[in-house]
Amino acid sequence: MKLQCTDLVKTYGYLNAVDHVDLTLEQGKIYGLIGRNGAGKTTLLSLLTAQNPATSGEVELDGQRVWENRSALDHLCFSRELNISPETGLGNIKVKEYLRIASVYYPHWDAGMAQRLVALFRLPVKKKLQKLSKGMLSMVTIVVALASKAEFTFLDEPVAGLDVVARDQFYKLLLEEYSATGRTFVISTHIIEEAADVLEEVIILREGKLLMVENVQDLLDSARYVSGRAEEVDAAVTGLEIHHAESMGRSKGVAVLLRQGQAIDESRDVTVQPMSLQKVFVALCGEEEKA
Amino acid sequence: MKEQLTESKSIYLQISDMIETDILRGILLEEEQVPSTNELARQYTINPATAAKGINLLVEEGILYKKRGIGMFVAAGAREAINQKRRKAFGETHLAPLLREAESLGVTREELIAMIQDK
Amino acid sequence: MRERSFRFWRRYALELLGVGLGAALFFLIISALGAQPEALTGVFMSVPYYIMMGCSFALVLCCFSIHISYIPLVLAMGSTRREAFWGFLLCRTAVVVVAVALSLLVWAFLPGDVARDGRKLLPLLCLILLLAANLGSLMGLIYQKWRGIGVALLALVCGAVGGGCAMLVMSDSYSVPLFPSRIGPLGWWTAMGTVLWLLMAAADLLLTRRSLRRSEVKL
Repeated sequence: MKLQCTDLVKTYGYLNAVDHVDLTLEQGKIYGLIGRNGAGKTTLLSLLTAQNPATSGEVELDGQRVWENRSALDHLCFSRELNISPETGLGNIKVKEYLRIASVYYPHWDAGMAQRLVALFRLPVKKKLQKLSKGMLSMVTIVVALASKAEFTFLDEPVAGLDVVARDQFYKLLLEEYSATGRTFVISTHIIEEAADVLEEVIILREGKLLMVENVQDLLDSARYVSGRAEEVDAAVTGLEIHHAESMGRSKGVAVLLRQGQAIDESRDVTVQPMSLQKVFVALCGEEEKA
Repeated sequence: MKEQLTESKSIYLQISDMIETDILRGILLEEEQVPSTNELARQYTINPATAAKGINLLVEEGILYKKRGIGMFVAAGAREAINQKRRKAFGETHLAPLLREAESLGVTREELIAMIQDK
Repeated sequence: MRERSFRFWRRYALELLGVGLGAALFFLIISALGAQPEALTGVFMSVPYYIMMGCSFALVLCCFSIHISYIPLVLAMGSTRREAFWGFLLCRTAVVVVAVALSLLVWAFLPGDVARDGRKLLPLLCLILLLAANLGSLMGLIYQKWRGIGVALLALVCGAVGGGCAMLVMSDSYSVPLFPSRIGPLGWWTAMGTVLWLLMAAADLLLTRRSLRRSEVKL
């Protein structure tokens, strides 16, 4: 089963929040969706799950359009970040009710799992959503995402508001569920480094455009940080793809993405270090330093 | 294999290194089963595909082999093979950085040899 | 419609009905408490009026709020817009049908003027219920776009309806059973009501459909 979007565009006014994105999501992988605030992550996830109408382009599950398609929607779950404000009328709904509605709409809903997770997170089921802390709201979305047992499950910032211990718990639960079922998960997150180990592939979005879709290990194998005297660094990386050059006095540091067969000239007096996923992301999507 | 993962090296390489070290230390014996990718994933909170990459690396090198339907096992002669491999790599992974550092400090070969003999 | 979607809307219809009948009970009790002993039978003969009032109130409020609560919610959970549209329509209609049926039940078998007049008024009362649903929904759609106006309208309508109900209930309990004789040519009112309802229903359904097609789920 594949979820595919072709030339997907979402325009608000003059701005393309999602700008001609072509993406194929395969079954049985954990994808990370990363990008700066406003890069279009939530919009993309909404479009993929037919919760927003696209301005143009198609979203298809196994060749069938997802929009208004009951059988396709049965395989998808988008558990979005709950921002309960007085403007949304949802504040008055109790956690119990929210979960009940989820159980009605998700055809593969696992009530036992939902119950276990509610107990594990100590969620106050009788409380109204507006009375919950941000952390508890995140836990509610995590319960829905995991218990939905949907083949393609999308989580938008699932760990926002969770403390470190709870985040660790989440990654472990996610892996456990993934190992047991092989469901596809797409997780958008800002806490890149923590999630990096858990992801198989990473999708990087920049200003609405798809920058890359790469296997995390392959990406990290090809990314290196080269530093030393400016002239040495420049000589060592000639002809290579560089990003985010930073200078301080006579020294310079630059991130390099190696292609197949390329190598850094290590005869030069430079320090070559591996990069973390977070550093790679900042190199690719951070602002270029003005020379 | 109770070490922690560090940030300095690819995770799948760390996994394969750890398994190799365990074999060298006799924690994993030849013809014994090694932890499955799911078990490794659970233990280190990493993606099973990453764990699999580390294991496949060792399978390619002949250090592990697969028994269909059961799992991955330590190959006969693995210990010796790992020893050989690490000896060969010793020059690159440990010696070359040492020599580079010595050069940048201006330490001569004679001084270096004297230091080694004194240790 | 998927069976699951149907289940959701059926339960919501029951909840709506519960609210309406609960309000009706409330009006009934207030009326009964304030009535002279000899007027009590009159009060009980007027139960359908209380059902109408309670359900109208419930319909206005729930149809208003559903646009910003349950509809975005079910869309977020994977409902199609078509299912949401028909589910909404069906559950409102179900509530109207049950309210009218209950009223008919009460008045069909009771003797006397109140029941007879009531039976004659049923079409008009049915229209009022339908209008309440459409009105609530339209106000809810307005609220989605222009918050201030939506709130103002809601306050106005609730105030008017609430005030009207309160007046009827609190005043001399004879006036409820005698209500039919005061309002004039029934046929004319029913015809006007039908026209008004058709216009409002058309506007409501078209705008609801439009809103659903374009809606971006924001929770």
